[in-house]
Amino acid sequence: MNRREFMKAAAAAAGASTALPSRLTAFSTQATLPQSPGFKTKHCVAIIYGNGCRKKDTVENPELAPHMARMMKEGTVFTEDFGETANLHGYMYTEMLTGRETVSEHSHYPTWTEYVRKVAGGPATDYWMLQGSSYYRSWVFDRKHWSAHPDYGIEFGANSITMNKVFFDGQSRSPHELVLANVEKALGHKDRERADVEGWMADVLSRKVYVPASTKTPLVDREVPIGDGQCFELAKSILKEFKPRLITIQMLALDDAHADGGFWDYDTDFEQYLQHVAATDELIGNLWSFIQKDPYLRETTSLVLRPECGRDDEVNVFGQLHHSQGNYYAHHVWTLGVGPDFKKGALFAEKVNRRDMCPTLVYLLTGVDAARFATGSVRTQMFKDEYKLPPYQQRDRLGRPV
Amino acid sequence: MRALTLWAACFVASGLWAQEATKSPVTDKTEKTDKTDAATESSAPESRPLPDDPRIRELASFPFELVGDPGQGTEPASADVVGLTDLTPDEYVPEVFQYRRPDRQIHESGLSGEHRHPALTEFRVIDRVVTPGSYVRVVARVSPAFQEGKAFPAEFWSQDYGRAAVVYVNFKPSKKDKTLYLGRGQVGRHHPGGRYNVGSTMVPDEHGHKKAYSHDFNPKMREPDGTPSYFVVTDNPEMDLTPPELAGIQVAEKRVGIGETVHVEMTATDNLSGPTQAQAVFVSQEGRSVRADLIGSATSPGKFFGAFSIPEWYDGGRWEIQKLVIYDGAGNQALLFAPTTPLLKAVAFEVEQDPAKVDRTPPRLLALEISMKEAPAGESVPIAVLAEDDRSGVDKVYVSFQSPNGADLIRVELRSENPPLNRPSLVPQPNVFRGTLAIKPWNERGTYRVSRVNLADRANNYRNLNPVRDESVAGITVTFLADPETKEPSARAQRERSESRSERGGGAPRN
Repeated sequence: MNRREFMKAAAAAAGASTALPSRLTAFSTQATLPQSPGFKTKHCVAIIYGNGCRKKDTVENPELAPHMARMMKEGTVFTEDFGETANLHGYMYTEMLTGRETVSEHSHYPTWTEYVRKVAGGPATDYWMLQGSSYYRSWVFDRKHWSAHPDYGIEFGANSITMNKVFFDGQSRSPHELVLANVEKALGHKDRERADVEGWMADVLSRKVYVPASTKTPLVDREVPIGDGQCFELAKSILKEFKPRLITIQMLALDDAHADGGFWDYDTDFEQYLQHVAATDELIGNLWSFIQKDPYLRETTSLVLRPECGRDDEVNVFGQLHHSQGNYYAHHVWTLGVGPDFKKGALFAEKVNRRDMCPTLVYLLTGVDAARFATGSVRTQMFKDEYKLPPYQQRDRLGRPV
Repeated sequence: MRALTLWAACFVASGLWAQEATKSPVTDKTEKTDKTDAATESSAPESRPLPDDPRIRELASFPFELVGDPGQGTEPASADVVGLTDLTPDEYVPEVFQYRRPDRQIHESGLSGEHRHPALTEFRVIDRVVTPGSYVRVVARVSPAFQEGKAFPAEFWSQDYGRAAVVYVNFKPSKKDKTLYLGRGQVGRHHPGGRYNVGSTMVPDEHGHKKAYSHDFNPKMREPDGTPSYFVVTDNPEMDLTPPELAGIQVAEKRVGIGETVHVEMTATDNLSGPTQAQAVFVSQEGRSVRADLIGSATSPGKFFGAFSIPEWYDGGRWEIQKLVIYDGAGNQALLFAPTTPLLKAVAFEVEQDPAKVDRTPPRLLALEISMKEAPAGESVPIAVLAEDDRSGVDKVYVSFQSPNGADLIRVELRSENPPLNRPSLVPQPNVFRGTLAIKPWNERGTYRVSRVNLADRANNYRNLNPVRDESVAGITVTFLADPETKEPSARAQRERSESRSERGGGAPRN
């Protein structure tokens, strides 16, 4: 049986080419979610504390993360945000981006970028994904912003920029070459938009906008931590230049806590992880301050952040802090949402789930419960009372209400 | 990524390789092959086609056509995108350098020793359809051949239930063809029917290198139609994906002294296979934790008992349960944490402890001695550490060394042992720890630097000294010289020699 015959047979068996799997399926989310509730958010920065960060080192540690503490007062915080998986990055960030449990490292199901772009449309430059570096092992491609789903895919993806492939001193390639190598044509830019991206890259390179601001606790002077810092710096530039609908930032250097396990580097350890938490806390705080100082962005921009997972309860004898199944702080993290549509100073200790992030962001940016394959729920409790949203519905890994 | 730890644990726990295949309507047809000692096979068994059964075809179907391929998208971070075997040393970037920006990646040609990871060149499911409780076989091929091939697992996930239902397939090298690995995994008696897709695997070699592969990025792990490699489990009326439930848990003692036994009793229920194992973790107000295995009662199913004590140097005060894990016979797990589980919120006890006896201070490094500045590559270099601890005493000492370009890390565990001399002056020296550093033929030559000193006391206080911060361990080096008689050839020359041997003899050693 060749590929075409197989797919035909598979489609016949499943009933339709895009039919859902029979069991791991999306129950409809809150059926009564109002469409177009009138959210003020037009732009969103979604920050993934990628590779894992503990709440005890951030929202539970205002000395280490004072900017987080400041933003908590301005927004909504969930303190018991659960994820069933705590040990496999490829599966965890994919689950977060898609809102459903996953067993692939390039998503088979749509990411939040794809959902939003399919509903809200807009130019390709409305959607961005930033990361400091590529992963290694099997993750040498930066393909997190689009899925392999036939109804979505790269045409609904984002401009994905990896800092250490593009922005560094001595970059010898031209902006045109860099865009060609790093921004997929299939994203569907118009010629003018690609030229705009090239122009922006040229400006960033010539003025060295990519250099992160100095922070009270300095960034660790290695590529991955610096790359994370660059993402926050460039998010300001992108907001200013393109006023995009969605920027997703995935931090990566938090895995320094694995220490000399070799990921990222043998020089790293728990203390460098703490240093990175402190430095990026200030950079995220700066980004939020930048938004608040702009009269337009202040009224229209939200920032949502959540770690992809936490990290272990204990540091081991080698100064390593891994992220392992069964550890409370590895499974339970926090979410912060701050912006014009979220409650201020609200703190929720009820159990919520990593799979909620995708449907919540999609609803925030489209006003439609459009994440049709997600098995998480829209976190309605974080939205202001004036929107009169129904109660949050926690769901299990198979999407069943609990 | 801690996936390897999980896989390794599952591999050890399963011990499947030596077990007999379970008879079943489907696998009975393969009885002869299943009973063969697969590790002695020299050729890979043929894959079995999907039977022409409408129900099996339905179970085997993938829900939609996947679009895109690994070549689509932006430039990869390095040339080694899918474990290619034809990259030259000027193209090949060892995994530890792949994340770096392109002009800072170190290629194989710039390294002494051998740093190429094993490449997965074939991955094929043999038994396309299996019944619950029986075995599935999978063939893998790894290049180049190794003298001592390492076992590795691959995980297959239920298409319908995701990570709630996984089958681990454990691979072992064939004795006759060292590139050939034969894998076998048992489908649990309570596993749900349906299609199981391969997720990822990590292939290690005898040098300590490992390479992760997933179906997303390695075409070898995909079917011809682009979907993940898979097998099908037939419908299972006895499927069980429901974790056990906690009915109650209590601590018998309200107040204990250090070293006194704390008794725990827990009751759990389960819908089908029954609760089998449990573990609780208790934490102090200072954040120290103690694990307590809860042992099931054979005479009272569902009842579990624990007995543990708080160690000598730990803090007193209120100790609370932090988490409880309960397993059932189908491998389902209830992972319960106190903040979100009402039944756990009041489970606590008080510990009486003299505050003066609490050890919160990690050991101190007093001196680190490396006796040689230079050594031939085959020699061992003596290392000694003097450390002290004011209460519980020094327990563990490790010194780690990083190779010249950072491709290798060698950790040395030092021990406090007296030489076997019968002299009155030879009293124990619990503060002196000794060990030796030696590099392997595949490690880099050149100057190694101390990259970490780790100390632990008996109260589990740890000190982590890193030269990027701690001057006391900064700039300490030892240089390994290439042995003039067996001067290390380039990695490429070694590999060519190995491949030549392999072609002649069907899998000769690489070094």
